[in-house]
Amino acid sequence: MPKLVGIKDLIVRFYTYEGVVKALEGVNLDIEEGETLGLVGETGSGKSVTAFSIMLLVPPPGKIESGKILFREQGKMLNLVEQGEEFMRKIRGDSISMIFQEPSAALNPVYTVYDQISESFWIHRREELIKEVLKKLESEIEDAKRRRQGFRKWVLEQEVKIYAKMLKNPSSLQVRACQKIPFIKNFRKRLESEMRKRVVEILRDMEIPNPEGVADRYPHELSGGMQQRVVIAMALACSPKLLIADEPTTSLDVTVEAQILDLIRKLKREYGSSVLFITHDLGIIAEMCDRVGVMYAGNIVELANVREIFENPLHPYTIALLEAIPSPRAKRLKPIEGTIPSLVDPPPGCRFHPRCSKRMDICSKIKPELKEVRKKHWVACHLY
Amino acid sequence: MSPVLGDNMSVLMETQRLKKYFPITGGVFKRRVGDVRAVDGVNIAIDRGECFSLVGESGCGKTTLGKTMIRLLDPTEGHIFFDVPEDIKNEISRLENSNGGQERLKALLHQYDLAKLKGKALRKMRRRMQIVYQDPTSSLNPRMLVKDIVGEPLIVHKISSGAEVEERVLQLLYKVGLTEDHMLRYPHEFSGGQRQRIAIARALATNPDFVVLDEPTSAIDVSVRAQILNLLQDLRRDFNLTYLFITHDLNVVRYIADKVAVMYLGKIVEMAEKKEMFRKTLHPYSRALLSSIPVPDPEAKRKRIVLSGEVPSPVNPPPGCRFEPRCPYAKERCKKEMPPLEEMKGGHFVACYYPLM
Repeated sequence: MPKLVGIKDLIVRFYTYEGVVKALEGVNLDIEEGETLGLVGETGSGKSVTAFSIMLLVPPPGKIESGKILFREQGKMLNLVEQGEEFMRKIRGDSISMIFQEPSAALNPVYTVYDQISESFWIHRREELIKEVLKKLESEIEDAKRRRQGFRKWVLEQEVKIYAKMLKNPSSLQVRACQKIPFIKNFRKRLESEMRKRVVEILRDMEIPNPEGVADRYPHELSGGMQQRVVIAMALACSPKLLIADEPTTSLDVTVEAQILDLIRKLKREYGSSVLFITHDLGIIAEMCDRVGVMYAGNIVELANVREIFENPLHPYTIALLEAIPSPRAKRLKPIEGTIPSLVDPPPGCRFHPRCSKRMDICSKIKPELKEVRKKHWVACHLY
Repeated sequence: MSPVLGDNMSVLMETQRLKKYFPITGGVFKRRVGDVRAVDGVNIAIDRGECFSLVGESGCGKTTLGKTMIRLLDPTEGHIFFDVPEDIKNEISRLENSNGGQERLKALLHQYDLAKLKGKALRKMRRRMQIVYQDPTSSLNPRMLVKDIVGEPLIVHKISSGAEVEERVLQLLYKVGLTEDHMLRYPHEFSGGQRQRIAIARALATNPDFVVLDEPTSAIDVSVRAQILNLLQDLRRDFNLTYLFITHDLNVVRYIADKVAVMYLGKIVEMAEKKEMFRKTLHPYSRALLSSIPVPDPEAKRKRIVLSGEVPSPVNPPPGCRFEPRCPYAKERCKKEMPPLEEMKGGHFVACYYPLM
């Protein structure tokens, strides 16, 4: 499988008043085309920061210090860190898009569902849309010619002129002016109906009942599950190559969660996207992912196939994490002692060593590198 | 049920036809235009020393039921019997069914029904029941020191005073795995797991019999969650506690619960011993709910029942069975009549006309 994303030695830090938070310390990660890669870890392990880094959206005071984020765009591997903001704006929502944890916060409360989804089409698929409209206009002009409707033909020709202008430069003074003048501004209706068709289509893909009706609703009129479907629709509007799902079901109920997970799996097949699935629920990981990366305090500590992770975990943290899941068989849970270290002043060497049951002297001195211990099974631990 | 109090098995908390409606007001005069039927006729009995788990989706009334049971909310209708002898409960129900003896009934209810208690009598009961909330960040006052947070119930209920308070607080902190270093700190200095420990210490301060745990682990990380669950298990044994464990995490239920009740739209739809519930689920809703737990095992190819639609509004619930609009097995009868919660066999209750055998 060709690589879609390659993250190399990524270091991200947040400059806060309490000190420098070392959120990511040398993360290496690949995402292959068409696969679902899961990232598990506790709060503050750097899962979400990794996701935001790929989009180059690390919120201030955070900064990408060094490292590469390679992304395959038009057959070439581009380093996103070196690209300008303009380039990123084209990529976000088009080639890479994201589903957030809290759908009610991800949606703008003052715009309708249609407005929010069509924005994505307008920004990334504008030319395609206008060309579609122009094609329709042409056929209507033909029709007008045939029926000898001179005035209608003239009106349509004017519309063609405006659309042609719009195609060249949508924010030109003329186009903007035309959108304000009564009667003339009616030309937008064609564009709107074209976008509407697409919005309804994608809402239908999300298995939303009555997509025409939902398109005109505001986010607060929808339930959490429906809101999350709308967010997914926004993310998938432009058939992205990489879909980042940042805990998409955490705020949902189990039965709705089941629906959403099924939906994501189905859509991934249909749209052929790769998915980066971030969660802290190992159950969801087992169900959704092909490969899993386990994160702890800003590092990837283990990376392997799902089966490998569950059947043959190697890193002490992964083992402990699996044992900490409550199960009916367990007489008593084996918790991991202590808590996640502060990332302002992380422990030296391996960041897990203060909580590790198998720590050695070397652990507090040298940071273990991610090594391929078995075939396609990478572990960062001095035991191996 | 409880391995500790096997000989002492008796019902500690019982609710009868408990209802809690929240009025919806509208218009100029704030007239009552409808009700949110958060809890709609719930009968449950919790045995002493048991961990009774209440599961269901959000908005089904779990938390409201928990709060109403310990009178943090005033019930609209129904009885709550907390530590009331069987014979008195029997007498009350006998009197209610017959016409005579209204005076006696009134007096009995006034004395024993927690739903009707007021003032001093209620306050005396309150110290016997406590609650631990979901999010310790918002349930602890950020401007109080830990020793004041944990000590406050002691002072309010006049359990101890002066230097005694501090001594008792320290005892409690040790019990939940904190030390005296933590006494003079503010909640924000702690991690999520430690804050939940403080909240638990506060709940234990009055030496309660009954603790409502309202999703105590859902705001906490996996590795720390196990610590809290173990702590709760230990405390239950040490203090002879009875838990009402409200959660939507069924993995936790499988671990900690003795008895499980599934709630849907203000009603209990199924109630059974944990083993029985997970082995032989009878209600279509419980079955769908249990099937949608993600299992941490990539090999497990489970048949998941994905429910269509969402929970209807509790303002005007479906006239028949509450689950009928989403139920794949619904028949004509389900649309018209509400199935009562009936005992199918030894301790397994289900509210369905056509239970899945």
